[in-house]
Amino acid sequence: MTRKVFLVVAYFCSIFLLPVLVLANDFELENKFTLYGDVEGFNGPYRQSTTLLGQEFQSFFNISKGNHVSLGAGFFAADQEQKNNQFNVNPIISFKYYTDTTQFILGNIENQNQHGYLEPLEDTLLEFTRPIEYGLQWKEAADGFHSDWFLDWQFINVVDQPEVFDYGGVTKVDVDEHFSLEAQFHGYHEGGRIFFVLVFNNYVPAIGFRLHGPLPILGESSLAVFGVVSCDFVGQYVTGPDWGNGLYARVGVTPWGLCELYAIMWNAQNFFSQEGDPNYNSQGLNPTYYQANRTYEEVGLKKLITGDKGFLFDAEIKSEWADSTWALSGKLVGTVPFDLDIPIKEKKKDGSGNANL
Amino acid sequence: MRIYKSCLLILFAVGVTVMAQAQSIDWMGQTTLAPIADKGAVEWKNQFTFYGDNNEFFEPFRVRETLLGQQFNSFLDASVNKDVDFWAGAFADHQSAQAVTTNVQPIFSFVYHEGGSQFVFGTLLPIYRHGLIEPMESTALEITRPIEYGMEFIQKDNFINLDSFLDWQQILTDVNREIFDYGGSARLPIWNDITVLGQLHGYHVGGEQYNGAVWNNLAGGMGLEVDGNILGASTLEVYGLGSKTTDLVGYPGATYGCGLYTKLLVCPDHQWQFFGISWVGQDFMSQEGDGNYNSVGTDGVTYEPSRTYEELGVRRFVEIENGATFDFELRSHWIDASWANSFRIMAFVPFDVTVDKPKEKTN
Repeated sequence: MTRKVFLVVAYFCSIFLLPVLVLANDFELENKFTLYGDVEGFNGPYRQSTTLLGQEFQSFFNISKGNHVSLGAGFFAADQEQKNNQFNVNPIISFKYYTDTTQFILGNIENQNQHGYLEPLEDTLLEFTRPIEYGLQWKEAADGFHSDWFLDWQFINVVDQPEVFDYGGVTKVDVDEHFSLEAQFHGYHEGGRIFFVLVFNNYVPAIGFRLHGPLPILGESSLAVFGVVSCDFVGQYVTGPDWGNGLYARVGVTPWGLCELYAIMWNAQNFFSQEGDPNYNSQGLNPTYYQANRTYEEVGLKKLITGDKGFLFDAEIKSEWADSTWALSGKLVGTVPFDLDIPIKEKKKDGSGNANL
Repeated sequence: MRIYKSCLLILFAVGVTVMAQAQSIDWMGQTTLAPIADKGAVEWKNQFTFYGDNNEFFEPFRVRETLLGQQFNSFLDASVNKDVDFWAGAFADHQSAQAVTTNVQPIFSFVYHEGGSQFVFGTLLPIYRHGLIEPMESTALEITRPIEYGMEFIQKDNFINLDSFLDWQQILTDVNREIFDYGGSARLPIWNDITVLGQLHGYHVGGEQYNGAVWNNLAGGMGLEVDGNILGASTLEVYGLGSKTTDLVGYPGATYGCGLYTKLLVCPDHQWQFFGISWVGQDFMSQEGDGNYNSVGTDGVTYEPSRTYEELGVRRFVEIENGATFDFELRSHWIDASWANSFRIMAFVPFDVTVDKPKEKTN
């Protein structure tokens, strides 16, 4: 175990091993195991075939300081089996201010389902390759209105390492029970002034609508159509022009409620998103490979089973056509949470923030 | 990019601030006594700090920097007798990023306290940079150096408010020079709303063993504070400061420097603080001061003998609940002829636990 990992583990232990008896107010130990496998069959010009197989475990104390503030303290551990069993451990430390409809989060932010991004904006693979994020977040969830905006700091600026962060969010407004308007934005930045490295930015906004509701035989059905724009003023690649655009459409049906059958269609010109699924980009893996006009289609079957207490099983298989290349991909995810309520006898406060055995 | 990053963070901070309930606060820079346990008790003191600090300086005097992360300190405070406490614990700092090393440091302190006097020996937990103003110590040190090692004497009574310290930063080895800074701040009320102010900060690099550089920087001065009621509670501080830098190899400026620092604070409703700072400097240099006040640039070569600097800002400090607080500050800077913005958000979540307390005798 490296010194770095040792230090991090020691740090977590100092938090994790805080005697369960003594902390303040409502106190809960939240744990979650996730097992996953993901196969991306492509080995074309835009993305390489990838197989991910691994486990994740997170465990943290959720401490309520009252009606509006909670604190999360614990750790997250991930192990990808193809990486020589190296175990990555990261801290979980978060401050959350919340009301009935609003959440402000500092520290570890909530990034389930990649904040709700479309695949061209954020690759679904980030669910496994970047399962936790640090930064700040502002979430709103009211009747007919949902919003999630964040800043995710990935790397700090040190010698030979530019600062890297991505930011943006998703806002959805329900026009009626079946129809909603949605705006998305994703930004990516590399730079930093301290060590004078190249600065570049990538901006990707999208706007569109979602239509959903039950249909005879087809069951729960949905249609999403988005117009997407990309700007890459000083990007990694200089092959294409600064501006690009694309049209994204996704249709899904759930015949007899068995599983979702969906199709995605994508048509784009000079589109590039740094953190998006590369199959949607005009820039290939090879810096010299560039295809200005792009098409991409995907047809898939998806089954999501959720149970009591947060149990989740997600299986997906999809067939993809990127220009004239075809590939088959799939993923399997199982999540098992278990939370423990820890009875705490709160001390009668004679000063703010005090608790007792 | 400057606009996007700043807007995101500022929007977030303004949102939090507006949502929260405000309470009145103490002014920055007041002398603060270190926390001590009840007599005979053992208390477990913990605090989480979440910080975000961003500036967009492109001038040669201060480095553009973004700090985002979390800090945690946890220590046992044992009251050994009525005048002596002992602290033992740890401090950890984790910057928000995917692949960073978490910095863990020990907390060990002997605390002697009697009335309004305190002597802390070991780990220091400075509040607002021991009361030093920006030209003496940069506000960024509150995040980058939240704990110090050395000794500190604090006196807080009706006669004087004093915070003096010695902070040992680096010990002398065959590859490192010894580095320490020292000084403090004092406030002496003399008549009604008028207070005499004193500031001193020294920085030393040296060591007798092993041949190497020995140099010193000393900055200090006197000032006057007048409290009044202009658009609400208000305070005007004026300091005359001087600096001396000796034996620093390659230093491009004069040995002696001086500056005039003026700060006006207005608190219209005991919730928001509006402040303005004006600075005029001549060859001034404080090694640990905010670089925007210095005549020498961060590269050690750029030098402007005559400096002007102005700052306007707003700050709101909010106590949310059960000791959890949120602090937001937005500033606009005029550095000679150029303009820049910066802001800070911080959240503090303490939880103190009484581990052991002597039972009262019953006869």
